[in-house]
Amino acid sequence: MDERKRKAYRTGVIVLAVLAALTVAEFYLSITGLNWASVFLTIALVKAFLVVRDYMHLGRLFGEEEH
Amino acid sequence: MSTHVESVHAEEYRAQLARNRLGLWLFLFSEVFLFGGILISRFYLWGGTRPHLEQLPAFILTAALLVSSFFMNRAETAAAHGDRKTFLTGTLMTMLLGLLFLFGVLFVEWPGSGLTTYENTYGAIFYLMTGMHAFHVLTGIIFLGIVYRNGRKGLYTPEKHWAVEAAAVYWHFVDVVWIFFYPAIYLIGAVVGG
Repeated sequence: MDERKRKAYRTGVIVLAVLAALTVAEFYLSITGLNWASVFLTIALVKAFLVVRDYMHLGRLFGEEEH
Repeated sequence: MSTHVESVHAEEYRAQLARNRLGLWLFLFSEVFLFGGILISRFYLWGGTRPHLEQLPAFILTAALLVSSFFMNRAETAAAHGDRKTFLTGTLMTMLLGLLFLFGVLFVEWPGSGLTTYENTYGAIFYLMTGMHAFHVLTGIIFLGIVYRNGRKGLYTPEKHWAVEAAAVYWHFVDVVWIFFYPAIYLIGAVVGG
């Protein structure tokens, strides 16, 4: 397996792990009764940023990134 | 001579690819206004409250959608590197997890919510948010089905697989929408009723 492919797969796994951790954190924050919209929206922004950058490859739009 | 022609074709393809990407992102940008408007409606009409909804099924469906994005990313990476088997497996897994999410919303979330579309703003917004999102999940699954069928026919190469990339970007966008909708519907606000 070439290095670029391996790196791309690894990035996918890392992003999934972070998304999973943040989603579990959201869930537990909610059931503990925390009711701050700003906290949940900040977590959502971090998750969205990771997906847009690493899964949707926004950089390709500007020619900064290729396969 | 033939090398020159190939080089010209490759250059034209790259230019077309850049236009395709711009077109897709502009389309998604227009979708941001649609979903953004719906999200703002939720905060305007529900404020600091939310209806009583079962947490665990929603959490499981959210997890399914996140994992589907992982498989879609893997499938696209595989297509870009000529790994046809991983590409097909990843696309199929994405579709199955998408179907799990869709059926979960339609046959678990909706009947279990105890809400109606017409009685109050809780039901109206709940069905608007989940329904509009589920419709996009459905169109994403159809898109992926076409990509999967074409992939089985061997129509994609590491150099030319725009449809795979477009389907992946669209699917991830649907995931991003849910990243905001999930806390807005199920987590933020004090529970009323139930």
